[in-house]
Amino acid sequence: MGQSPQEALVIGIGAVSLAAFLLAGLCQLLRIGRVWRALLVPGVFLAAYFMAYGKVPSFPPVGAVNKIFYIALLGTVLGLMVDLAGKPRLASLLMALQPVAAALYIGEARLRAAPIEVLGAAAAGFAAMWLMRRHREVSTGEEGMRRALVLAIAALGFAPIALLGASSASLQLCLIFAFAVLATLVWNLRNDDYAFGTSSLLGGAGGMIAVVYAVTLITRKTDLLALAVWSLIFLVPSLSDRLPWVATRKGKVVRLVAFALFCAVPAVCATAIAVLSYGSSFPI
Amino acid sequence: MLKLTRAYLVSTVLSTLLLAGQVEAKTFDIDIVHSSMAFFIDHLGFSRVIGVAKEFGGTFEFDAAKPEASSLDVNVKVASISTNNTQRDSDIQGADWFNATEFPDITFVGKEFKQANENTGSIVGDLTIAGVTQPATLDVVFNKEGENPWDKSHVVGFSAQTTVKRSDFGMKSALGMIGDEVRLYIEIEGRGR
Repeated sequence: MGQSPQEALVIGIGAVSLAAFLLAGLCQLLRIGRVWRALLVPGVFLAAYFMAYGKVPSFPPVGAVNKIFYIALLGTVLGLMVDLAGKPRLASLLMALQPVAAALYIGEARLRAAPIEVLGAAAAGFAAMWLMRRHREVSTGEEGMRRALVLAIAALGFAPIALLGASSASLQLCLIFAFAVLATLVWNLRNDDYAFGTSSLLGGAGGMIAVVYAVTLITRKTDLLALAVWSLIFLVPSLSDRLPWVATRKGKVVRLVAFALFCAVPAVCATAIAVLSYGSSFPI
Repeated sequence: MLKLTRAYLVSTVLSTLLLAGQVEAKTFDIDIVHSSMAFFIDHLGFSRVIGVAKEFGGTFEFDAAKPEASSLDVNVKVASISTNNTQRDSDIQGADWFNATEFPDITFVGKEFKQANENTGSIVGDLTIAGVTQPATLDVVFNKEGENPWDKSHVVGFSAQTTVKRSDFGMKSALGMIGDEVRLYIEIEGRGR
């Protein structure tokens, strides 16, 4: 799959993004229900995982990297079941529990040595998920697209932090995931039919949070200042509601572009901090 | 005179018994001062990066007359792996590579010991890296067994080598850039207990 990591990355981004784009279009064409269309986001996460690590890990998973896959898969299945059953309270409970359970599961090896770090990560993951699911009762397509944009830009922003934190596979996963999520948005720019359901949150966002856990808790080379700045991305939806130049723009596409640019600010700042504070030559 | 003769006979018998005991299976501890483990891995086809393990240990049982009855148990500390570059040494401890946080040890447990020639053979065993266990075969050369003239300890020495694929152990990072095959070279001295 490509002669160099760069080629593999480009092929991975191209293949998964194209597949995501075509599937999103097919879903529109066939008028697939929202609950099933919401599977696109966790679907591309699992595909990105497969492209980055070149495997479906065996079960039960051995090690943090392999656990990521099953956290996302379980989140996807539970999210789908909850959406099919129409149980919003159960969905909220699962969204609260999943980041905490994932932190304990991935950080298991560090629970005795550094319980504060694991619990801190769990709290941060919980906060990120809580901010992502904010206004969940608002089920417009535009709100769903905003959530997908937050997730895609968070993945884009975390990619260089992961690389400089000694995880080139996480860089690949994040970039493939980010571009593929963006590809799913294209068909919905002119309508209000984008679906971002519980499965998208538990499978897609939950999977992405698990990647951050693995890099920070297990590889433990993450630039914490860059990570803190990066996490501000999750505050953008709340803040953007109060900013006229984002919230009250005429035209959905213009509003979404303004929102995406706002999201990109902490991502770019975090990347700059990570690069500047990296005390060595680039690891290639 | 009779006392001297008796003492000579007793000491001769004892010496013979002790020497006879040396050819029976004996337990040896790996002598870290005189043992080394190195690995070679390809970098873009230009060169091979050399890494070493600085902390390892273990025990083995060995009888030159009956090598197939041997045993071997080795443990390598992942944190001690060095490739002569601090940045890279730190990176390879991460979750994409050796995952030292979750799996701080690499282990090898010998299962099958075969003699090929007078001083060569192989050891098939279970190699566990990053929580993944795969069979591995060490090609072994028996160098020497005898007394260390310095401290009179009983010593046996071997050289061994094998090739493993890192992808078999879930390490697939940068496969297009850094080789999949890892050549291992091992020099071991064991001190008898």
